[in-house]
Amino acid sequence: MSLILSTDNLTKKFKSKTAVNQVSIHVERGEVYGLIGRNGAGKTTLLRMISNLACPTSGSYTFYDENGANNDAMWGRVGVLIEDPGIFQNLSAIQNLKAKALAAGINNDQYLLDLLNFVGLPNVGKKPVKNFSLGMRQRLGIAIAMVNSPDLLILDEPINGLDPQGIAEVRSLIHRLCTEKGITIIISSHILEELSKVADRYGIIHEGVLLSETSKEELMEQCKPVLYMNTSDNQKARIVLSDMGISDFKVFNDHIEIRERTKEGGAISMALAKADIQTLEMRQEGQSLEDYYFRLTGGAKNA
Amino acid sequence: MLNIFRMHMYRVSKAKSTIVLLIVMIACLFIRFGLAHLVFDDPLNLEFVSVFASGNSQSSALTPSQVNTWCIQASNSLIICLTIFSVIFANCDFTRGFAKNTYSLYKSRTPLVMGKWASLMTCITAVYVVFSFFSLAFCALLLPAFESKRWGEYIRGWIVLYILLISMMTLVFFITNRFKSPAGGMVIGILIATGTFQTVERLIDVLIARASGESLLDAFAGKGNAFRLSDYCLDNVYISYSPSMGTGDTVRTVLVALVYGGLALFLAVWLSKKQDVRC
Repeated sequence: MSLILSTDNLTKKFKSKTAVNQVSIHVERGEVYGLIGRNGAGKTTLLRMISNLACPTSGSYTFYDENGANNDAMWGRVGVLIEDPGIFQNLSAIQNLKAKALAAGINNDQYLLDLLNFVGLPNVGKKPVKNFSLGMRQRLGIAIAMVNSPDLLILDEPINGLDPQGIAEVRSLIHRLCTEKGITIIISSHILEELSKVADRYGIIHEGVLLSETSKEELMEQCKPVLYMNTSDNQKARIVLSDMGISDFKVFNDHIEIRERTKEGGAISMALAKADIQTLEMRQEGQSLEDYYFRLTGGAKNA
Repeated sequence: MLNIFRMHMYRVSKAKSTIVLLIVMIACLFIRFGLAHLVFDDPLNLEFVSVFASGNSQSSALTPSQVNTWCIQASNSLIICLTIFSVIFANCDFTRGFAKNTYSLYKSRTPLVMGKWASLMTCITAVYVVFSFFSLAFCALLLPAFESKRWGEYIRGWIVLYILLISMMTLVFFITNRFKSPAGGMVIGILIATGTFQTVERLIDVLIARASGESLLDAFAGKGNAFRLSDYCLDNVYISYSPSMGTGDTVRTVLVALVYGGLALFLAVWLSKKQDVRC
């Protein structure tokens, strides 16, 4: 896959506080990039800079076209939903879409109606947006962000304040945007479990610093359960494990870590016993996404 | 820029505040018509107003340029309404957060600011043209004191007043855009309309004149050769402009308006490039 956006040491300072500190992220075309961080970690500031709403103190960012070339025309191909949807409350949904469409140089009412259908707001008619529920506003916000047929959609905390049904609707919408329209999406959230349901890659940001950029596979690998064993002869146990066809394990002086077939602790123990190796200790440990995140960010569970 | 212009014209056409302000402005205009009827069609009232206003009596004829002065320039409520409209217009997409949708579309902020300014000025122009036309038509058709003469003076005055209005509203646009403060823009508009700044400027004029060795009487009368700050202040230039002014004063008036308007627009564009969008 080719890059659609990269940032190079993007930094934003507010007086003495550094909100974003030399962040370099790399977003590939077609993926859903999840930006994880606690409240105040710098996610929104980073996304505001990428969306041209805030001026970086230093550093830069670049959009790339389908050919991987740095292309200024990509500026018109970015859709943004930062925090609350930016909508005129007294106007109807279609009028809000029309306003954005005119700004983008689009004059096609049928296209706007199709967009409303796509986000699940087909029958809102002339109802003013101020009478919409939070979930409807959020979906309208996504529709407004999509008016200019973006290649890249930037969604900042799109599920904030939504009820479980609203969250599921937005999640389903994100899936459809990615699969049906092939839009690259950057989505930020402090709710790790929700993000893990949609994102392909993750950027973990903490106190303005990007701690890690990792793929879903790498993250899952990090969070895979591990079988910890201690036996009377760990070196001899190595042969037994290999004979059983287990290859993903590491032998240490005082224990063995097995990362595959972790649910077969009983069978492994039996095989060791047949080889006159006594199992002294056996426990399975799994690291949840949250555990991984907290370990990375250094602790306190206030994300 | 054209796209942004069209977007702002569209949202203005759908906004309730536009209709409310238009109704208020029309009401203000009718009040001015009523006052014009009272003043110009009654010689006693005209004499009272003329003496009260300038110490000189004036002709009882109501010329087209006097209509413009009376119904547009001297109408404080119209200026206040236009200021409120400009402030709401300049601030609306920021307070509603809609600016987030448009700022992400363009790399440069110049078309965003210029498109918005152009649409605001189109609205101001439309109001000015319509109000000028209706006030002239009303006075011509309904006031016996109206005399159709001195049209050259009317056209010159109409253009100068238009430039002054555009310049003032550009200043309001800049202040609102820069500080994202509706209150700031409105306060400035109201202070201009009520002549509060003018009092301060005149006081500074007197101080300068006294420092230059002029007598207190001359200083208050604005006579003598001392520098007068108020001659270069937009609000004073607007209030004191008269279509019967000499060419030199008219040129100064236009230049002051162009400098203020041009500078305000330049600063609005230039500073927007360095400013975060807060909405």
